[in-house]
Amino acid sequence: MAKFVMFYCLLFAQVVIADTSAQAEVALSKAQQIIAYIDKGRAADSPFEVRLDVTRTSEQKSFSYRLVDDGKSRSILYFLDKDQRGQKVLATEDETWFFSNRTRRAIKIPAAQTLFGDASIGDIARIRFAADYTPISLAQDGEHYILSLNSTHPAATYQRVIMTVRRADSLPLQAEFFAASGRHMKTARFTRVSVEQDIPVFHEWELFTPGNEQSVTIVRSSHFQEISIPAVAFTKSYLELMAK
Amino acid sequence: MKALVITPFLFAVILLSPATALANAPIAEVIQVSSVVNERETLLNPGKFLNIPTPSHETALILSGQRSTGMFTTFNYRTRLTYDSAKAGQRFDAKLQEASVNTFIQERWVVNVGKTQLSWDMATSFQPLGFFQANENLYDLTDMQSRSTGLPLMAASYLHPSWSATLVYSDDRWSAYDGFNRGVEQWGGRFQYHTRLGELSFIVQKPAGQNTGAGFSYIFSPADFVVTYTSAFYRQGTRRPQNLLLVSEQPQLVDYFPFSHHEKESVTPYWRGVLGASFVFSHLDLTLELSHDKRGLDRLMWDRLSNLIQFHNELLKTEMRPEVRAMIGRNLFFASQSLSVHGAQENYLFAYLKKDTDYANMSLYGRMAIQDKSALVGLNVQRTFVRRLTVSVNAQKFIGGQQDEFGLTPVGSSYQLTFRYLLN
Repeated sequence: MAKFVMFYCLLFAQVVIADTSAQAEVALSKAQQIIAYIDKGRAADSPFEVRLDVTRTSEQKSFSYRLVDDGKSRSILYFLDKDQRGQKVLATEDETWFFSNRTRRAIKIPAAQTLFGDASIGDIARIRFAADYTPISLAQDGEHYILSLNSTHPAATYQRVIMTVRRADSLPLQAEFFAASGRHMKTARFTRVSVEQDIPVFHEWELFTPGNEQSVTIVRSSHFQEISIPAVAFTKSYLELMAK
Repeated sequence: MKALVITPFLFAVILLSPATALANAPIAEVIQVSSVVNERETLLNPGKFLNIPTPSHETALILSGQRSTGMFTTFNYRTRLTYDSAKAGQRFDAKLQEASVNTFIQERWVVNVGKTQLSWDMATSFQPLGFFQANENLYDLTDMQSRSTGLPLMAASYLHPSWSATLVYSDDRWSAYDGFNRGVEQWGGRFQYHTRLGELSFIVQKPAGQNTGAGFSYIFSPADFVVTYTSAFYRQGTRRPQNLLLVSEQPQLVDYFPFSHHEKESVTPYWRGVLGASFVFSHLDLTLELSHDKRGLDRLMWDRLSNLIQFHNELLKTEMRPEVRAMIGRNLFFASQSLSVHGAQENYLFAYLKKDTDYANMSLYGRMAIQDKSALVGLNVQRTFVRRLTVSVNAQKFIGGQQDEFGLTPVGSSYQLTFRYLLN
């Protein structure tokens, strides 16, 4: 009898484990779909450009940039303001280069380097969640999904991202970024997102460091257009030599 | 020289090209620099005889612009018109700092012709591979004062997504020779290879009348908040002028300029290198560099230079004849020529700390001669008002003992106030 009970207990446990693991797989697949959907709104599959205006509320100061992306993983950030004209940043999967307009020096910089306010170069120029992060859990919280993402790069500044997404339309509301130590480094709040032709379009989002919510850095995106640009334009050598 | 012949032709092609050409509006800016120097009495400046003029004021008008034809051809220029109150006799100066055409001649071949810079070294305080770029200026690391100037050159590069190769010829013989990049006819080649682990470059370079040298650089980012880099170059012989008075242990008083270029084609190995790292902490950036340059004075040579300067000062105390005192003054000037903005000794440590606040960008920097522990430290505060006006305040202090490199300099401290105003 005892053997019989034991057998059924084990069988039940296996069924529960199998069911839980199948559920987890479905949840992760759903999470992957959500971040892929969000990425579609932040970047196109082919080369495109977009204008970004970054404003810091505490000092009412703003800077403008033109982001040119190859539709895969490389982007160039051109500085548009008069006092910064000619400067640019090349961001690839593995490296970030700053090009000085005067000294013509190409300087490799850490991706965590601040661009302006609370916006780092990585925050602005690395725009794909699906390429840089793997979902590890998806939980339901009322009308929201809570996605937990882990970085695919062991040396990335943000090792973990917790994203709050609306269940109804899979649009993101907030993303919290954490260092490897577990320290909460930054929060992004997606304040103006619309859906156009089944693609989420990000018009505005805010960045702030925890404990300093009164000083918010607002990023506004506009003038999105697909462009034709050769792949070689996204190399350090091209930007060094062409001085554009 | 060939570059100078071809360049006007290419400029004309770009400027006369039809409606496809896209011209960015030229940028005009006025830069006003006021400097105050605290002259001090040192062994190189007994009785403050140099009498450095202070305060001094310099006003410059910078005109720069760019004209593009699609993605594949650009023309850049920058000129500097200067009025300098401290330069009696030549207060006005006009300089074409850059004028170059950069164009694709085939899908992956790029040609650069004209007066321009090709930066092969990313280090801040010392660039062992900086043959075709402006020398470092520790007092103005971002070149706010627009002093960096290109070299006349022709370069052809092949670009591949993961590697590139460049061949450069430069002829700058008509410029004043400065012992470094200026006034030199040279050629160089670079092969650059990008991997996920970093960027690796191999360099060869040959100046006219010197042996060929070779070097490398490696740039690697182990984490998102740090970048490490190293570069080194090796050549037999150097064109840096050698002070003949340091050959002998016995200090002398001479009536001739005691520098020679006898090491130019020697077989003596000279190598130079830099090892650096840049860190980004929350709201604070730090750069550290350690450099070595065999062309500088080692401990023995530095001691001889110190003894020589000491000897001339002792003579000055006892010698009353005006013509001999004048000769001693000239000898102190000769000794001062061993000091250089690039560093007179072999080993240096450089640190640069930068913090951006809501009100201003601040930086603190220091360069220390490892042999004698003397140092130059500086502070810079910069703020931009209404986009057009940037104001920068810079202070430097030279710290060291009587016979140390930064203790010998006749300037104890200096202060600069810079205004940069964009006219359009």
